[in-house]
Amino acid sequence: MNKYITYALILLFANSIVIANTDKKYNQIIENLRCLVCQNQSLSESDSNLAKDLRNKVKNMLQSGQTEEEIYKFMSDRYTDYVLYNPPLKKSTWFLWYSPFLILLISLIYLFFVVRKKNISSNIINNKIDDNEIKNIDINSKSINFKYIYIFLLIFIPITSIVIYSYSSEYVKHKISHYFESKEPVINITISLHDEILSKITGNEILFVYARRSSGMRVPLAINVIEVDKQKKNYNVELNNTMNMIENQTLSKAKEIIVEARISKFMKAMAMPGDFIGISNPLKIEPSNYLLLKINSIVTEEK
Amino acid sequence: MTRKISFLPIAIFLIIIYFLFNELNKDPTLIPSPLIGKPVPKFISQTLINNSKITNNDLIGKPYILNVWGSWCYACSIEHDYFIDIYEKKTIEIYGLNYKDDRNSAIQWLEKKGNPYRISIFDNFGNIAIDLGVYGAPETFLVNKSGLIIHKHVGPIDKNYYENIVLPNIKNE
Repeated sequence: MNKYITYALILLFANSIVIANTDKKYNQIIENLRCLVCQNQSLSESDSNLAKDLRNKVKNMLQSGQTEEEIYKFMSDRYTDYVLYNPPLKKSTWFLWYSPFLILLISLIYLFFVVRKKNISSNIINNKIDDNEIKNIDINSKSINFKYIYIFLLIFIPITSIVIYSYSSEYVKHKISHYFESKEPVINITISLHDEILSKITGNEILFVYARRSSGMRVPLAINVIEVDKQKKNYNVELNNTMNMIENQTLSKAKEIIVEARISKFMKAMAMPGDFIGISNPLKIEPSNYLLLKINSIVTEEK
Repeated sequence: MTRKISFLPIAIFLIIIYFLFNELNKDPTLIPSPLIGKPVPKFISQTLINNSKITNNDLIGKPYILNVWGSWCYACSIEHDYFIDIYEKKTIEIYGLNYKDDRNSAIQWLEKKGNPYRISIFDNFGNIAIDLGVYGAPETFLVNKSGLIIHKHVGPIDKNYYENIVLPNIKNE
């Protein structure tokens, strides 16, 4: 049996060696480097110009045969350890790496002494009394020990998790906070193109879908941008509370909204003559909404 | 005894909260430069206007200010007047690093706004800037006469830059 497990492991490793080509290494490196102008993104995620330049630099360095370590050193020589998502172990980062284990160790020592103290005191009592009572006390002392363990865990777990969370990478923090961020209200929209408009689509256009207040400020509360395909008639698009353009101007702030879908040849936020547009009726906002929207008219003048 | 110990977690918690709270007031976009005290990285490039060759060795000799700018950069136009003020004092030379820019629009920008730079180094691919650890224009380096970087400022300089940073640092030169 062990033999087979060994074979399986060898196969697994051999396989991963084959897969591990430069591309994989490149992707791995840019995942581990922080984009400097957009703190919560890695180099691989960011669209900023500096991130593009640095990605190119990584690619060139890999192609010229430099190792992963040399690339990390190149980056941290210029941008400090801040650029690394896995900070190296050295004097100033010692606490960062070992504090969770240190806390674990201290806690275990504490636990050990508490348990031993309880045992000693119960032994002393045991010597003085008869068999019948020993059983009772044994049960009691055990339950007391468990109580300590529970109290201890209740204190220990939150503290360690706070410490670990506070020292974990920005990337993880971002992922966690994004997960808990409320997406509601959500609007699911099916956008359907009029046949005549569909025949004019070349595939170079962009579909803007956005929601704005039915009255008052016209600024989009949520916006989604989709590339248009030549033959596609229907698009399913979601707008939610996290897709705001301006801070605090989110979907949840509005009571009644209008959804607009616009297909444009220009990458512009304003409606341009020649754009195809569909505008919904005013919609009262609920936690989740569904809307069918037809793109059926042409913008004739600049708004 | 147990009562005293039971306060320990709360104490630890408060200490952690204190450190986390302190962290809130820091500007997370400021990255300290590892290049302070180190020489300006080696480079070979062209000057922006005359197209002639320039290397890092050409700058050594006197203390100077190295300003990373681009005509596309809005904050650069804000700080530009302060550089012209420093230029008019004639006490320290200012070199420009024209970062990821179009040559013609950079020259036009200087003609329109005035040129405080002794020489502007043309860095259209941003390679020199990467070696300098630049992560966004404008950035301003103060370099001493032996070519070591002694100060780095990120973002547009203000009117106090010359008095508070340049003067005290070059006094001993």
